[in-house]
Amino acid sequence: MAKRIFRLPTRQDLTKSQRAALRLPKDGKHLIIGAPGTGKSVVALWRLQEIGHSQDTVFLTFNHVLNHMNKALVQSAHSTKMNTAMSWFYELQWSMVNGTSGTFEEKKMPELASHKPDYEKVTQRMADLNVDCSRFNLIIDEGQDLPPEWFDCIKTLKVSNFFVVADQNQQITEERSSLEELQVALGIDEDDVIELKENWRNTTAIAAFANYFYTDKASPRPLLPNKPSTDTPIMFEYDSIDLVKEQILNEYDRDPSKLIGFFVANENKRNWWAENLADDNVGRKNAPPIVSTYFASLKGKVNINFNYGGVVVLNDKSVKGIEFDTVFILIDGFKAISNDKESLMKRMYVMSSRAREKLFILKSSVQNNILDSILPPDGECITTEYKGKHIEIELLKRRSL
Amino acid sequence: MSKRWFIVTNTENLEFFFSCGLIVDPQGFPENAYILDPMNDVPIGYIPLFSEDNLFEALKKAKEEDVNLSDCLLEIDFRKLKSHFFVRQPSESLDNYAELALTSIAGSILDEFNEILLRAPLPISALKKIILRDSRSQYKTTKAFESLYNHTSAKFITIEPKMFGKASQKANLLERSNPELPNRDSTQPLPNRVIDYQRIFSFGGAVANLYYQTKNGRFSTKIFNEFVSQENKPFDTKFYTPFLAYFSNSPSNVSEESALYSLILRHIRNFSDIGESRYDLLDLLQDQEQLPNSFQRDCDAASKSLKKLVDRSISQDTDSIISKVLGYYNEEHSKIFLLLTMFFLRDHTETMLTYHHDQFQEEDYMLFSIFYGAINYFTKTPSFLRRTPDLSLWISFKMAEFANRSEAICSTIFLEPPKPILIHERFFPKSSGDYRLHDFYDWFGKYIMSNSDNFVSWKMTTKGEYLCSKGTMTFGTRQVQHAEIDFDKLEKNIILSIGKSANIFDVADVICAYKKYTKSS
Repeated sequence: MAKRIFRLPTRQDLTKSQRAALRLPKDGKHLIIGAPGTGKSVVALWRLQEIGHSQDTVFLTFNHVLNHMNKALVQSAHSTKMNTAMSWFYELQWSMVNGTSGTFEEKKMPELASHKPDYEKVTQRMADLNVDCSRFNLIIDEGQDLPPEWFDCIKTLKVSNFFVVADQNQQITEERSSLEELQVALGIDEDDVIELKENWRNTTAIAAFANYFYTDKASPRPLLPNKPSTDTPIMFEYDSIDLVKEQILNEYDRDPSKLIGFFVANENKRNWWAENLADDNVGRKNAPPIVSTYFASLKGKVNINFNYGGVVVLNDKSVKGIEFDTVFILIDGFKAISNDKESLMKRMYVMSSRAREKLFILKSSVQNNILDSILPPDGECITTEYKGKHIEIELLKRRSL
Repeated sequence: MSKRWFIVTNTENLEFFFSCGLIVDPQGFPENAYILDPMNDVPIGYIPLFSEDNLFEALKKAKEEDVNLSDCLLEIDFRKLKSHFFVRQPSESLDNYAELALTSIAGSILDEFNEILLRAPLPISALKKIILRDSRSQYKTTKAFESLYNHTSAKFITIEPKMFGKASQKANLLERSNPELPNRDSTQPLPNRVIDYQRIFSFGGAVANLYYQTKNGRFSTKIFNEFVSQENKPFDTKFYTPFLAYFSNSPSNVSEESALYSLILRHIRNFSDIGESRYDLLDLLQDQEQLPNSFQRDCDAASKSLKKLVDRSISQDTDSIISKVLGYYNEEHSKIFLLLTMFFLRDHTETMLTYHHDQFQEEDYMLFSIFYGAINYFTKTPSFLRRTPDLSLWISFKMAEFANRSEAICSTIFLEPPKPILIHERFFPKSSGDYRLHDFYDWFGKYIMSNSDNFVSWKMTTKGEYLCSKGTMTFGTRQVQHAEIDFDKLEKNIILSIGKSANIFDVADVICAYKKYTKSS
């Protein structure tokens, strides 16, 4: 087990526009938008570092894995201020009504379904309580995944300090906010929305590959970083599942400080692969990796250690917002509902943009694969200008294992 | 000198100074990172200082780019700085300055002026005090400084809102007399100074990494001391000689090997993305026009091998790859290809520092350190290393001294801050009867995943006779146990510990333990 180089970038590593966003006043409502890799979450986490010492700062994310990863990035003193938006919302409601085990049925969160608050009722309840939470300073990551009603409800508590980062093209929930809805919910004019444009996480090769799957017709494709790289995404076609296992474990053994994300299509595959990768009897230079996994019903019990190298096996629905040094995507088994290729494109977009350094696609040589039909064709390149030269960057190299 | 003198800037630029380890002029900032402040209004390569009665306009300038910026005042400690400075007669052309030596004139003359220029860069240790406007800025700045320099005193970063007020300064300005220069004819347009900051930051990065390797033993410690002072010596042949052309001001008789090192370092230094720098490097290795003749064939072969590493066409593990390279690039070949292979296998200084190979010599670890330090700069020195007591401030001084040596006329002298402890110079005397030091050896043995018995011989000498019965020894006088260090074994154990633990060897831990066990300060 080797320590991973995983820490919040220094302020000097940030772009000028990221630093400008960080200088926004502590109070007030601020909305920062940007495509994957533009460093929205980094800006939000830096904001927490800078104002987190005040007692009523709260940092909220949409999912548990992202919350867990973010906690690994900030000083431990601040991690107690971090939560998922829904957990915090439920806990807040419970503390406001002074709930006890005896009054649970009466005072629990009004819900339309399990974990789906009845915003109308809870908003009314909060308004009746007339609680003043104006001291709160909320920093919200992935704000687009929260519904407008969530924001409206919080505002009845007189909360007026919001710092929301969001990306419209990464909405993964059904109850979500569009950019316009977020602006309305926060009462922010379009001119006051700050957009981060520069892709900062990925190299040109990975960003161009991810962009290939960009679907949002309402906004332009994210700008490509001008960072050509040796690390062009590679698709390995395999005959035997053992070769996939060997490829992933070899990759880890080469540099055990790297955290590898291995994304698969469904829960069965996730479970099978997590067990299979943990069962490594081949003698290697380094000790076998810690293989971890996560699935929705674990909720807050995330056991992924983002501070050490290893392998994390995830269903593609759990990968939002988080990032890995290296990503393997096993494309076998993905299905399109009602032949909805756009939805598949969106999933590929989110998965592939999780890779910071290296991206590998794995594909069976014998199975038919619906994702194969949306991948860039063989030899597809983009042309860019770099250091005064026109260069071609291939979107996806293909090799057999 | 009765006046207080300040650099006026904003906390964004100040944090960059902390990070890069120097107070630099705008040339020293990466692209788009510099935020307008009064430095923008003076000739390139100089740092303006404002007297306490002349801050208002400068403070306005420091916030010109964004109203949300926080302005700040950096008070200069002239006791630590003996420098020439430049002054301008208010009635004369904006570009005309006269150079005066601070040491040769009475302080009262300096008091006549309210703005002076110093040659950039200045070491961080030249700062006496950092003055901020509010507690939010103080909190942020203190955190930033502590994270890189390990400590700060409450008096060093302070809030003084009055210093940012307009009224008192304006009154003083109105009362100011028109100062007279000692020799008015000496004023002339000040030439811009182009400073090769990249090389200065490279030097700082290399020194920091080399300092880390001094943990390995006497040889590494000797090389470190040589390296930090090598500019004054003629170049003799050492294993690190090929690097010296890069660090030299005016290299002469540069070998093709040195030229190749220089070319590569200049090509990939200060990368923002490892994949991009590897891309640039492969591009260079195939560029026959740029490469020295005798290396063209080897570079081409190396680029092909490195490409295979990237494409995952080579499935060997890291050790086997390194062994193969060591086997191929034997004594007759340049070690640059070993360095480049490592660069494709380990993308961070920290993971390079924790990589051990049985065939590596002590000098190999030093070569890797110089290479990674030179391309990453001081700013990317691992944070655990930067927090080593006294290290960051001392390297800041060394970088300023290095920069100053580039000048034709040596005109700036900085007072040297304390040098960081070199553990093999201080903690391991050949023989010691101090039991507190023995306890430290026990701790150190465990720290390097070994045992002190593996490198210490425990000896007792007696003046008189002693009795030995059934395993019990009886002495007539009190005995003193001496620990005698076997340096070869100590160094071997340290080298073998590399990469054994998930926690990296941290000199700060060792210094802290030494102080704890020996109760020294």
